[in-house]
Amino acid sequence: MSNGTIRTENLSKQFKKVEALRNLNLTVPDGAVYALIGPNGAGKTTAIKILMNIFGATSGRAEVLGIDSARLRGRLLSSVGYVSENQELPDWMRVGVFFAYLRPFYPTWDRDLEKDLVRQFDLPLDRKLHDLSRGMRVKVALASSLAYHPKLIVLDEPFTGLDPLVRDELIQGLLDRAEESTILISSQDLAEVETFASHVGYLEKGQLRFSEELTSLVDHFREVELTFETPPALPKEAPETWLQLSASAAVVRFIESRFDPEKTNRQIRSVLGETRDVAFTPMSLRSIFLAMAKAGRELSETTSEASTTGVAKTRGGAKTSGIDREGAKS
Amino acid sequence: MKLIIHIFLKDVRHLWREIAVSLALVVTYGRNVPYSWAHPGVAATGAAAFVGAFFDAEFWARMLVVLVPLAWAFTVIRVIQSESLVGDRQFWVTRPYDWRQLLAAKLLFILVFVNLPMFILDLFLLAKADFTPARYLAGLFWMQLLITLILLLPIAALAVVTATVVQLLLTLLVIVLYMTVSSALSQHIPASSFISTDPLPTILLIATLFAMIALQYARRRTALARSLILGLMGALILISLAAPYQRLINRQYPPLKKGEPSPFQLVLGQNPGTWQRGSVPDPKEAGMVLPLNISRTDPDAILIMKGSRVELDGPNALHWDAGWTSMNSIDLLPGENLFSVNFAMPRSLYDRLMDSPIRLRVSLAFAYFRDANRRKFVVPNGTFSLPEGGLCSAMPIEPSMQLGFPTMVSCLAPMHRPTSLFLTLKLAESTCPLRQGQPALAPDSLGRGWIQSPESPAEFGISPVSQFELAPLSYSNVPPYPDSSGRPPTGICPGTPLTLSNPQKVGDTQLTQQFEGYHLPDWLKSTPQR
Repeated sequence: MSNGTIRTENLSKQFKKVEALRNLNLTVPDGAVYALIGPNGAGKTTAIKILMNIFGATSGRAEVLGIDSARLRGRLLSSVGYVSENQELPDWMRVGVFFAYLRPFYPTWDRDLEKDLVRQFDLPLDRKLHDLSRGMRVKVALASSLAYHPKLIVLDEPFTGLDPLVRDELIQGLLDRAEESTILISSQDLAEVETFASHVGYLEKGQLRFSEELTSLVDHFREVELTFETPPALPKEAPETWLQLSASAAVVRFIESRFDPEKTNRQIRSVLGETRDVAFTPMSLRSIFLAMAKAGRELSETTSEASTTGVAKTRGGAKTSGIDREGAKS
Repeated sequence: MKLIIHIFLKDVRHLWREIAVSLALVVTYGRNVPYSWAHPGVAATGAAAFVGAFFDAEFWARMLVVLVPLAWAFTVIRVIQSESLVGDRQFWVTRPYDWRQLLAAKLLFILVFVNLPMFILDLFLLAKADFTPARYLAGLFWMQLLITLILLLPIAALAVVTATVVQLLLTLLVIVLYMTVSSALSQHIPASSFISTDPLPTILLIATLFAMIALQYARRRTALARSLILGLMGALILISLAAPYQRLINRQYPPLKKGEPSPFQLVLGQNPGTWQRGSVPDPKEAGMVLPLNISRTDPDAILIMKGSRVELDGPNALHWDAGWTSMNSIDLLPGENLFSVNFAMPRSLYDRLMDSPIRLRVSLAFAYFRDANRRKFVVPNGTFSLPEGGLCSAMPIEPSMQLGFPTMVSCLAPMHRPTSLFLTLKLAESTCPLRQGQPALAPDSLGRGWIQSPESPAEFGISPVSQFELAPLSYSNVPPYPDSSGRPPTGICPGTPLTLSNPQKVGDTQLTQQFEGYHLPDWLKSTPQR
């Protein structure tokens, strides 16, 4: 495999009857802040745990810092920082003792940086880990994963359940080190992710729906509102890139997932005819995520109905197969 | 090495309570055991025993024999599970731990807080018992090896595949259930109780335990490591089911060769008519007993009956084989000639054969010892040395008599009890006082005792000093005690002359003898309840 701090190739993971990951092809470029987003149960944590060699893949392979992730252990982990929402820390240790314990494991441990992080995160060195709040524990875990200048920082849902202040502190701490590291973060806190991620991957049901730079992603998505003179008839089959197509009297709304001003306008005219008014509104990452999630749910409902009735129904904009293909290319 | 020490010191800080408790127990044991040597076998009875037990050194010495290994086992579990190898949330699995260093740190911990305290304890106990520790270093290392293989290795193997102590205890429960089931299964293979299929099961067990530990530390593949235990359990059952017992019996107890002298001849005894006619659980079976009398060709032979096999030949070429069954190691000391072989046969077969004369073939698998090095020994006053028994002294007379024990000689031996020490006491020659109302003992009334231990550098245990009693345990030609209390007639006191000897094993062998023209009803033990 070639470039990228992280690369996976047809990575799959099966837990008994549950397929947690299906042929995941993911690339996290060097220096990127890559946000892996997706609904609960999408396979984000599974993907990260395979990358960290916490457990093995069923098939396919993954590379982390140029090393097969199945071999990522021992000294090779001294360049990787990993923080997870439900990580079990040695609760009996005091914060200061925890740092002191970890120091000899990392040849690049930076005592000054450690002190900076302790100050920045306001960490109580003399308190035991089990006496700390959840937010404080995550800060300790993050500080202990930054103090040795890791080349790769992997964060699995680090912001879940944290108050905004702690989240800001964590993000600031991360951003301060973003230049020297590649960061992979899985999160559902899209508003926060949007403020610092450079790349976004959307994982759903174990498959990567899209993976691209955040600016490019935001450029691709638009909320489209069309106003007609008279209520138009909605097409039985809308373009695959239109999501959540709906009509209310003479107003038609949908989300364009491959926005291009000229091409989209042309498509609207050919499918729905002439409009009185057209409005394209840029979308936040959260709105894009919701649109994708809803589209995915509708698709699964359609599939489920089809499998029970034997009739494949289609709904305008509910199909995401077109996005899959394009997403995989990007 | 630096990181090994670093992890080790972390564990010391974390597990200081476990270390303190286990060391405190070791120290208590070290203080308590010598006291129990000085006051052997003395305990109160009745309600006083219950209260007094807590103040009784021997009671605590016995408790500590269990508590100390339990504390060690708990410490091993805690140190291994402090970097749990099970699960996917532990902080350390994504830290640059080298598995070899982690394993080495854990081994160092066990060495320092389990093996070393035990070694020091053993040196202390040997010195306290007036033995020179330096002479027994090989035995001490052997004891370390035994405790490691028998206690620490299985506990460590379970600790690497479980995340918590509770999980480990549940796993132990499953293993106990498995052992119960496999023991129930082995009831259907009677030969399995006296024929060993070793070394295969032992090798498999030890290899599996090592493999589990190595696999978990090197790869953390819990499911695979756990499946190794299940595989081992299955393999052990398969081995016990599929072992060629007949071949193993013939190998462990080779039949006497033609012309080879047998230490005895079998004579089928008379049915004295006093056999217990109890119920037999299965009405489809007939319980049979064969009273056998041996006529020794070697008067010094000591025989330990291990297993028996009965075959019947009836009219019309009818043949029935009871198969090999265990005889629970019946000892036949010189002068002891009577024993019996029990077996059950199908009731329908019994009914068919009961009126016909049958041919009976009895095979016995036995260990054959010959009494040797016989010499006279008069028990001195105070502490004395026995070449094969260590340091001995006669116990106080009064308490023993009151408690119904024979007065005996208590000995401390370094590393293990005597391999084979036999004592014969002419009861009439005992210098112990007779109890009130006790009839006089005949000149030919005997008391005998045999102390045996395997030939090895040391016995399994935590103390290198074995305490044992030199006492008559079986009596012959002794009139019943008037109050039917079953109390022993007398014991060994200072001045009592004994005959000591060292029976030597001649070998394990097998003897088959045939009897013609017998009738089954003569040997019917019980009548099935219908």
